[in-house]
Amino acid sequence: MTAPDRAAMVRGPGPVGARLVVLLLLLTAGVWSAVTLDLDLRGLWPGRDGWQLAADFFGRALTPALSHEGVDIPPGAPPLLVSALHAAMRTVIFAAAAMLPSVVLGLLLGFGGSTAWWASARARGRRGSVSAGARLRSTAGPAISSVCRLVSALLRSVHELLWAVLFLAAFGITPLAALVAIALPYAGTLAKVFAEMIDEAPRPAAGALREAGATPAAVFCFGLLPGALPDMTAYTLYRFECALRSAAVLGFFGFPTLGYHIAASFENLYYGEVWTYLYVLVILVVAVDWWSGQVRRRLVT
Amino acid sequence: MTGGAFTLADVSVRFGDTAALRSVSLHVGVGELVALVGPSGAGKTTLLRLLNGSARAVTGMVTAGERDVAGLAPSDLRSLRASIGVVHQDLRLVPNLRVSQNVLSGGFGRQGFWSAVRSQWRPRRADLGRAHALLDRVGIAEKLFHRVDRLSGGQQQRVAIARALYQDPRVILADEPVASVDPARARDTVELLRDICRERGLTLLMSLHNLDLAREFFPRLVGLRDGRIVFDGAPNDLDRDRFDELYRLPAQEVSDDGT
Repeated sequence: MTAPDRAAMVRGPGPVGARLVVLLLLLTAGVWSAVTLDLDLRGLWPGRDGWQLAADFFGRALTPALSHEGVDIPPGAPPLLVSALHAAMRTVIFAAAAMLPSVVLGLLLGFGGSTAWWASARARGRRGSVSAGARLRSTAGPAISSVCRLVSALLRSVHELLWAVLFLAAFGITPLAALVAIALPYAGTLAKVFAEMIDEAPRPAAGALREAGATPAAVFCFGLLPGALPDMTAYTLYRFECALRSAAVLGFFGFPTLGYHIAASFENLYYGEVWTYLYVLVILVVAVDWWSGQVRRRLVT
Repeated sequence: MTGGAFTLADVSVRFGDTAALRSVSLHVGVGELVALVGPSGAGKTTLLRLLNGSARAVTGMVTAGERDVAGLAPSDLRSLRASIGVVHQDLRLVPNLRVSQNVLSGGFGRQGFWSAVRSQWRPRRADLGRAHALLDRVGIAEKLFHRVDRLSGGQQQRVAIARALYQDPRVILADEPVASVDPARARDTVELLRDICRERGLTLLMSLHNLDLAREFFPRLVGLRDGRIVFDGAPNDLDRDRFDELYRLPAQEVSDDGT
């Protein structure tokens, strides 16, 4: 190493690093956005009615309703807690039914969109003598990979609420409309994250199997995928948790999930009931989170 | 596919501007036990990678058995690789699968995809029996159904050796297999690999930092330095002068350390 080289190395980068410039730019952009939106912090201060509503609502947080608050309950209506459990079950069923097709589609698009899936084909394509099939895969691979990424981006760029509006217009309030509305954007998100997890999975074992003459598909499935599987499983369970919230929110459109009951009780000013349903939703989410932790621990250690 | 013999004829390998091997010629016969020795960066790993087609010669020819490795069609390359078991320093196992699954994956080179799936999902009794016998030979038979990441480093190394043997290979290539284990275990492992290859008539090429181990267990040493073979012979022929030639620090490194 020559003296000037060493001097340059010790001195390091200039006084204003590129990282600092980027940080300052981001900060400026944030402030500028707030100014553009004409934010008025006084708008956060509620009027007298607002205070009253907030007080009424949050006042019930510690005393959720254990039975219906209305005076004229239709005969034959189930007790509040039974109807809350029923709605919770509906929410779980909606979320689970939506996750199934979205995981299948997410896996397909995720495999197709990962570079690791096509890497072995390209490595062979560079060599002189290759079969026609390998050559086709090595040329078609990048194209298929791009298409998979594009499709998954399209699917997730439309939020499930927008999909729901679309499908409601097309099919009406049918369970299928809600299911497809959740499944499509979730498939897009799963595909993106699956592809990244597969590409970041440790490669040494895959290299060893390739070196032992394994087929590319076997290398992918048993050398690469096992390393990504714990993360993929945990992420899928996290998305299931998100799907529970989405299914609940779709209740606002009239699907019989927790959201439906929350909206109805809120409109009738039965805040105790609202809190009951909210707590059921929280219990659901915490339960799934705990379950996810258990599964992950078993997969990783 | 390879009978277990290799010939390198005037082979050079470059990575960008760096020459990894310069005009190397070498013949290794069936069942020979050869240790590759020399300082790090001498080209030992590159030489091993040439033999199963993982690295490619810029000039010269590598022959396995009778055939030119560079000219193999993909299916022939697969069957060549299936007949060569490789043991790496970093093992390259799948940590969150069972020992049995890792060992059985050694059979993938001779299997189609669905047969590979079956061997991982519901292995045949006979295949499991073979895996068990190999694990018994390397001394960890009772670990057959344990997860690999629950085993010690030394036990994992045995799994890697069993996986290579499960290929039913003609050749074992071992790339610094003991560089990251303690001296006592290193000695055991080198001896184990040497003994297994001798009893089965397999060709063994092992790169080793540790010259003492190489001299103790191998009848033939090949010394590499700066991509050239500077020694090829029996351990007793490696006298003081030749040893110095192999391991002396290059002039540039000395001056760099001195400043």
